Amino acid sequence: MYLCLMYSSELIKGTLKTIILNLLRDKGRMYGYEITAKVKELTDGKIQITEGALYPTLHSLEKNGELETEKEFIGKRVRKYYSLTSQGQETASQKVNELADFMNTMKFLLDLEPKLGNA
Amino acid sequence: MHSLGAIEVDFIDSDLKSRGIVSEDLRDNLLDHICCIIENELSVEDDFHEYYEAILPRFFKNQLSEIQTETDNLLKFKNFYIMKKILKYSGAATVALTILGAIFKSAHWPGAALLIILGGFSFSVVYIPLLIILKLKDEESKIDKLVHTFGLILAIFLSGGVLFKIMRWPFANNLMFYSTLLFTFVFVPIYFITRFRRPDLKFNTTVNSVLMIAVGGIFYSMFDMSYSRKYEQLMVEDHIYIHESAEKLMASNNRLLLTEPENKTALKLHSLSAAINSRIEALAETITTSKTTSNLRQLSNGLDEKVNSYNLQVIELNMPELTKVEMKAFQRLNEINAVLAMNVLARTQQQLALNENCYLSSMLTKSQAIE
Repeated sequence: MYLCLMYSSELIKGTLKTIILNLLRDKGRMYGYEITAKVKELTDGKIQITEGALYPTLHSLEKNGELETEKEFIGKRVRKYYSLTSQGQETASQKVNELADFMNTMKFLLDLEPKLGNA
Repeated sequence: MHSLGAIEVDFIDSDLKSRGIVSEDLRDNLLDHICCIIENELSVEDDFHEYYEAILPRFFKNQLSEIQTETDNLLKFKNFYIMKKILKYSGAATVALTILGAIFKSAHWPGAALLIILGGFSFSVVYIPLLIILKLKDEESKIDKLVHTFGLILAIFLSGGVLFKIMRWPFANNLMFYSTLLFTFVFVPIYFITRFRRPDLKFNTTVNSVLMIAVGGIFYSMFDMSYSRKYEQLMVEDHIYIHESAEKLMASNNRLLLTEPENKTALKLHSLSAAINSRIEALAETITTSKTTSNLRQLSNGLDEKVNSYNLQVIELNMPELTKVEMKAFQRLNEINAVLAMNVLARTQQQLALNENCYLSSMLTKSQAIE
C-alpha cells in the first residue's frame, strides 16, 4: 500500500508518518489531496503517497492525539484540514531527527560517506 | 477544470459506501480526495463515470474496502505493542502464581487459594482473551481465526473448570468435562482437517494434533464424575448393613415398648422417631426411584420441625447415651450423590433406633431394679 514510483515500498515504509508530520509542521494545515499533491511536487513525482496508505495513517495520527482537524464545507462535500497538535509538533521533531540520524548511519554503513556524523 | 455538482458528489458518496467505506469520517476524506482529483484532472471532453471508474483503482490493490480495514486495524491495534507486553507479563504471572500456589497448596501454607485464584484469573481472563485478539489480527484466513478462537475459548473454560475444581466451587465438573470433551473430540479434529492439507503446516499440524489428542485423551480418561465402582459397591454394602441393623433395633424397640405400655415418654419418643423414620423412608424411596438427589429439597420440607421436636425431647430426657439428630445432614442431601445420601439416611435411622433402644433398656433396667 505504501506505493511510490521510484523507490520500493520496503524502503519507504515507516517514513510515511515522518513525511506527513513534517509537511504539516511546515505548511500549518493541509487536507488529504493537498498532502499527496505536495509530496509528489516536492519529490518530482519520485514519491507518491497512495490514498490507501495516507488516510489510515492520518486517522491513526488523529486518534493518537498528534493531529487535530477542522471541517469545511465545499459545496455539498466536507473537507477535513489536518494540523499538528503540540504533541504532534514534538513527535514531528523527534521523527525527523531520528530519520536524519538513521540516514547518516546508513550512509556510513553503506560506505557512501567516509565519516559517521550526528544528525 | 471540471466542477462537480451535487448529483455527482452524491453518486460518489453512495458508491464509496456500497464498496465498504462505512466510516463517515473516512468517506468524507475519500470523497473530497476523489472530487479534487476529478476537478483537477478531468478535461471537458472526458466522461465523469468513466473517469471515476478509471481513477478508483489508485486507492487499493484488490478492493476499496482495504482502506477501511487498514484504518480500522490502525485504530484498533494502536495498542498492539502494549497488548503484546501485557500478554508477556500475564503469561509470566500465570506461571509464577500457579507454581507458587501449587507449592503453597501442597505444603498447606496460608495464601494458596489466593495465589491459585490469581493465577487462574490471569490465565483465563487476561492471557487467553489477549491471545485470541492477537491471533485474530495475525491470522490471514477466516477459518484459522475461527478455529483458533474456538480452541482458545475452550481453553478458558477448561482452565476455569480446573480453578473451580481446586476451589471446590459449583459446576467445576461440568465445566471441565464438557470443555475437555469438546476440545479432544471436536476442536482437535477440526484443527487437523483445516490445516493438514497445507504443505507448509502439515508437519506441525500433525505433531500438535497428536500432542493435543494425547493430553486431551488422558485428561478425559481421568474423568469420573462419580465414585469408582468398587467404592460404590462398598458404600451400598455399608448402607444395607446399617439399614438392616437399624431395622433389627427397631423391631427390638417395638418388643421393649410392649413391656412399658404406660410410659408416656417412651410412647412420645417412639412416635417422634416413627414420624422422622417415615419421612426418611419417603426420601429413600425417591432416591431409589430417581437415582438422584437433585429433587430432594422439597420433600425434606417439614422434616426440620419433626427433628426439632425430637431433639427437644432428647434434651429433656438428659441421658448421656442419647444423641441429637443433625438437621445439617438432611439439608446437604442434594449436594451429594445417591449412594452417599442413602448411607446418611440409614445412619440417621440407626441413630433414632439406637436412642430409643437406650432409653427403653434403661427404663427396663430401672423397673427390674425396683422389682
